[in-house]
Amino acid sequence: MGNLGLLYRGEMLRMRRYNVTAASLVVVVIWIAMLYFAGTVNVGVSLPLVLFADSTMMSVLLVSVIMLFEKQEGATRSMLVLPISKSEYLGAKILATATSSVVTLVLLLIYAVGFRGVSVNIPGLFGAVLLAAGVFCLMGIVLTYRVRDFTGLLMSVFVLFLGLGVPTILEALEMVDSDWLTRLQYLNPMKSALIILSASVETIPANEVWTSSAYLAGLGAVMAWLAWRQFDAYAAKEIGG
Amino acid sequence: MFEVADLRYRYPTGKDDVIRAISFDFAKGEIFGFLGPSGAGKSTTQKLLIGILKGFRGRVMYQGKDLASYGRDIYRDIGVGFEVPVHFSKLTAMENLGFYGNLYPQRIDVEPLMRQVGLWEDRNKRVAEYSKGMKVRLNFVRAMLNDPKILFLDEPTNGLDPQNARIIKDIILDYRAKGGTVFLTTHAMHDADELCDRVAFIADGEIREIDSPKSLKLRFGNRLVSVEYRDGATAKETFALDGLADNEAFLTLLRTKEIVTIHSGETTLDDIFIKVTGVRLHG
Repeated sequence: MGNLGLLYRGEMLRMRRYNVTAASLVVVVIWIAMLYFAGTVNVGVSLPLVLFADSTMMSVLLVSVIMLFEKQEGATRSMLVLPISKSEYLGAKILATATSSVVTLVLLLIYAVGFRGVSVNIPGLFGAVLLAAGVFCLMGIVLTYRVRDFTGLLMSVFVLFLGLGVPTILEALEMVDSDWLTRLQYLNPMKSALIILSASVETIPANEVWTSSAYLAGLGAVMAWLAWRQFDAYAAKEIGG
Repeated sequence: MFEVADLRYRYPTGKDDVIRAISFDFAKGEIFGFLGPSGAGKSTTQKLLIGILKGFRGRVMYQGKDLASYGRDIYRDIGVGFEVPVHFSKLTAMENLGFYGNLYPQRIDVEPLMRQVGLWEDRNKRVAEYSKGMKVRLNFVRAMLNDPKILFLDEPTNGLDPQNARIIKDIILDYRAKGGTVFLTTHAMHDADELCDRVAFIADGEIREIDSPKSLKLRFGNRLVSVEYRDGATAKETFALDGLADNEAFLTLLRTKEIVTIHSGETTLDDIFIKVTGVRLHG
């Protein structure tokens, strides 16, 4: 097994031991409960919203929590003197976070498709979840470089949710009716994530889906570049004086 | 093994250099001590040598090649013992060692070393349940995991009781005897005196002196003998160490008085450090 595989296995073990996996499974139960209470008609509409919350905010939280635990225990220092590259180090974190999103997706699909008979483009949904989770995981890594502790993380996630998540949810639930907000939302990656996730459950114009996918892919590339480039400064900060 | 010339470093947010044009070298099979008080630049120098701090000026050569020309593979050769614990607390000691160990192409059988440092019985305990001393010992095992050619140790006995400190020091000496090289940063002069072939004194980012502990003691020590004796009340006299066997006053004192103590004026590394740098190591 290469370094990436070994690091990934280590990430998964730590996610279990630090109860991150348990917490994300509890969240899945909450998502399923929401789908249950959504009623037969609305379950198809609610599924993308639930997946949206999981693959965006949960991805940010998961990767940040893993990195903060590592930072808090000084283990980041130990990782820095291993014969591994920063791409392998970051790649393992992204894979572990994406795994969590895929597990959530599988469990939600079992419920939504198996028990509620929702019609879903399954390969499309997998692609959308992986893209959204990847981009937001990278965003979480860049965010973690800038926060000092769990309080800082919670504040940042809260601001992210208020700034990007709430407008997207309000718009999806048709609770706001404003042209300027709709136009502004084209810049919001969470809106793009919701579009590509919804496209597997309902009909969405192809140009919107492709534009959103391209936007997310582009943003993902920028985030990957930032995560890679700013890693050394983060490492130097962790090592201290 | 390592050659450092005119090394200078300034932290990205700092105004001044914290490492100021230092030069030194150490050879394979040597224990080289880097001694100084907190904030002197010891740990920064170590971080520069192991390549986790970038952007220095000057030259650092490892095995005849520029340090910058090495990739991450250099960490296959290097073992690093940090001063603070660096383990995943919710994993057991063996899970931690297994995780790190698997990332090296070569690794030691940890059982003998874990037994030697007294952690084998507790190997399946979560690190969170370990005492501070146990974590320090596990740090040391972590540093030795990849059977390193060179070991960088930062205060390796800090937080250990004398018995466990002795065990760690014996392992370091044994490692050196087998051809290993050690770069030891510490402010524990007694450890340095016991372990190091040569020491460098660093203060305010500058090296003030490099020599073997023995040579330093000879150079800076007082060649005197102090005799404390009872003559009604307790009194004390000092004699030159040279020609002591023919010093009649000294011999008469020994013959006629009740001797309480006799001390040679051999100085300690602590005293020499203060004399050379003008800086105290503790407090």
